[in-house]
Amino acid sequence: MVPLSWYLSLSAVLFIIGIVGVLVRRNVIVVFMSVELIMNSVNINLIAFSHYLSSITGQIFTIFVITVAAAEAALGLALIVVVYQNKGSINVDEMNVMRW
Amino acid sequence: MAFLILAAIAVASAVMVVSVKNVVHSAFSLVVTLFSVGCLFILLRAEFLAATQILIYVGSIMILIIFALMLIDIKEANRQRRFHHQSKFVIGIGIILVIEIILFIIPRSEFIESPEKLIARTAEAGGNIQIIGQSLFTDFIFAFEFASIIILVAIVAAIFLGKQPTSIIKKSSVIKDSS
Repeated sequence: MVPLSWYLSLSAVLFIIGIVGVLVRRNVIVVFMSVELIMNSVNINLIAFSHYLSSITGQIFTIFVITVAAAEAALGLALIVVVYQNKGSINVDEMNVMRW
Repeated sequence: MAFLILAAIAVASAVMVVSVKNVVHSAFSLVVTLFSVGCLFILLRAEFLAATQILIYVGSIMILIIFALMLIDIKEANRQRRFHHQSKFVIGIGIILVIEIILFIIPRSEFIESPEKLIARTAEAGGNIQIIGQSLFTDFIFAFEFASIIILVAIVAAIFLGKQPTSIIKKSSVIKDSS
């Protein structure tokens, strides 16, 4: 039986990789995929705790996290396509229209 | 042992998602990561969520991302610089954090006995899906309905954004001209 902290360590490592991807990459779609990685690491945490604490609530919460991730994917990709049609580029550092 | 193999695959392909130059290649390595995380859910005896993970993440979200990649100019995006200027600093901090986790958390972990209570309850109720369905439609019914409203709002907003891009372009160009 694998100890709980191994799952937590795996999820923390995936979370760190996602955060580094969000901070480092210039392409918006890669930033978006890193956000999906972060949400997945949270799901691993929730399901590991649900298994080791013998409670079903973690799995229920994971369903809602997946729901929010699907909604975010639909909305975020629509925004990315509109931004590309307007500016002709998808670099993060060129999206500064709302900066005052 | 299965955990170690799946975790190694997940971490390696997650690093590829962040570091590979071609955007399409990083999308496909994200598929590998999500799939191995779904296999980890099976190890944790969450079969329904493993199926949901593969259906929704690998099936629909990745299809959406690849469609978005088709709508933009990937060659131009691949030709440009990958990273920001300050990326060395961020990567250094990330490596330090990962080393801390490996050095200090993993060796001090204790092997916990297999939790039998939930497994017994699941077998009594007739499976993982039954027990999730029962608590989803009794204890969490409000959250369930609220999640459906969130999805409805997101769909309406996405359709609105995708419907008439030309009018949005006109408006933004008017704003740019006036300023």
